[in-house]
Amino acid sequence: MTSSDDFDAENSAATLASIGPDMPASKNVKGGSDKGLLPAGLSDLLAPQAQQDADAVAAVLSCFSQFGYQRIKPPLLEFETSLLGDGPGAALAEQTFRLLDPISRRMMALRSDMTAQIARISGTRLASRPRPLRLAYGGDVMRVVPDVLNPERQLVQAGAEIIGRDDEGAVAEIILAGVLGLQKAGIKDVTLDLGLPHLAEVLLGKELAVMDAAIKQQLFEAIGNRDISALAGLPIAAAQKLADVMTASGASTDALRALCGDLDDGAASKLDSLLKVADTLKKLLPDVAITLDPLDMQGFGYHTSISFSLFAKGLRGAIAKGGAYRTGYDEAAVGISVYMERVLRGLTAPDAPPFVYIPAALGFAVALSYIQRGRHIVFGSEGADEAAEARALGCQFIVREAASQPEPL
Amino acid sequence: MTASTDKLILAVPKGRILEQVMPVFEQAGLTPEPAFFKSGERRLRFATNHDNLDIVRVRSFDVATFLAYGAAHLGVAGSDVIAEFSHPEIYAPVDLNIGICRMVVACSAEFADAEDPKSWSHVRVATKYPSMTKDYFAKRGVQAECIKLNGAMELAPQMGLCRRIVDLVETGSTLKANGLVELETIAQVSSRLVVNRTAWKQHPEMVDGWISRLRAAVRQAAE
Repeated sequence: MTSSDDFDAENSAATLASIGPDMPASKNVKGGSDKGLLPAGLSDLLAPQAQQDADAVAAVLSCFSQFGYQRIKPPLLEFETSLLGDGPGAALAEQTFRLLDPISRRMMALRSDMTAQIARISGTRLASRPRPLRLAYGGDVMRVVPDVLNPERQLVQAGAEIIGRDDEGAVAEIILAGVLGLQKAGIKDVTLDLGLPHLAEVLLGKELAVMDAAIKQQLFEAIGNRDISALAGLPIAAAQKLADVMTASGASTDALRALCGDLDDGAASKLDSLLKVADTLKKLLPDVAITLDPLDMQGFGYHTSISFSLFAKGLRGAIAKGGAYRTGYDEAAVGISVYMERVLRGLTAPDAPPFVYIPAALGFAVALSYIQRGRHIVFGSEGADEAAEARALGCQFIVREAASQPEPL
Repeated sequence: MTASTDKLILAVPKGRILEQVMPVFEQAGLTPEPAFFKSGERRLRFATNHDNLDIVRVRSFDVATFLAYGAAHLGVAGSDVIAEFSHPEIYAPVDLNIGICRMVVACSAEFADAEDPKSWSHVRVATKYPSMTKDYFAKRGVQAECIKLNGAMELAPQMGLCRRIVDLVETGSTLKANGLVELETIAQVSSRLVVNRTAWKQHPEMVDGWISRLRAAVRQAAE
């Protein structure tokens, strides 16, 4: 073996370890045990966060319910062909885990976003229901590769969709429900960002189809980077208009409104509907800061007109996203997805309810009488040192005699 | 996230780029506190002449990491670093026109004549930029096996690690001194002002202010 071959072997082993699955780490964990090790991006949620997580999801969903969105519950697994077909599913193919169904021998996909399932249900089982159809959902989804800001691969998604409408009113309604839901879950200082992911295409018009591939790449890089000088330097007729839109983006609607007159009808009407949504929400949500960034195209793979993101002070990344899209059954729709992991990071630890220790000697009847009054109890173990066990199990009160009041510990 | 979320944090790389970017900052009205320039200073975070802007000094690759996670809100990073990380959360609105160089594929001079890049199907490359290198070669149907090095890439071919490297080149003299020749250019590189997407949306006035001041400073420097 030459020295270069030696290196080869070492290098490929190192490559495998860095990209491969978590192999039994016999070499790395000396004398330890990796029984507690979970695959990358997965974790156990303990108390009190698990309760907090469930409460936050419930708060968001109860708000959607108040807005008339009916809860549905699709399965975790579906056939790959239906889950990742047209519409919102197609954009998610790379993010989705697959496994073979031993019964049908067809490939199944583990949902990575529930929007595609809602679209499927609305287009099949609920196809004959009157439109608009308002549906809500909440559940776990799995992602193959986590995104930059979310190391988690198992996420809790809560969301709502209006099927059969994608007008400004429907967009405003969904955003309103989302903001109120987040506030109800305990998130403060929500900000809203509105975008039009396809505005660049509309502005470019016919030019886009005949554009040189290298120029096109530079163009979308410049838009993605918000680099006005690079954009202005490109040999594209619409470059100046795109730069104008970029300059006019921000917290104020005035600059964009002024721009509407200079744009052709298609682009102007799109921008106009974005401004309408902003105006409506400004009145209804005076304490929510609204920014307009029409050329934002990030993470809106399947949205067709208005898109939006919700942010909150101190939380990195968007905590909810949504917009107008076409379902795989060619219906107009507007949806919102709330990323509950990110929401959870913005909540302060909940106050645990006080627990009352009921010694085993007092019997279940005493325990039940406290439970029926809505108290939280911990039932003692037979033969235990009562006060010591009560303290060890985190109780704040103890009942010494069946008829006496709970005493603080 | 930082304790005070109303304060913006600017992350700058240590070393050569820092020296080049300081005049641009001065022109844009940004002056770090004097301790920032002291060589023996152990602190890494410094105040500036703006109450709502602090400055931190980190490694050039870490600027992108800080920005992507929203730990810093503004930064200075080479377009090489931005492309290597390719984080969707990072915007690069201003070309600062400093740190100009290019990213190239180079190989030992002795092999250069025999090389026909069009015939490659697999290459082994030593580089600091495995992601960009893989993408670049994948686009032309070549699988690149990258050996990640953090410096002294030019040494790799003569040590028998691999025949080719992907590295930054300013004048080409380091390549030449180590018996290497350029085969192809992957990208032109310069330093950019980078902005965290969320920060821009949450503090549009403050961020837009810095963008336009720095843009003006770059324009002035060019004139």
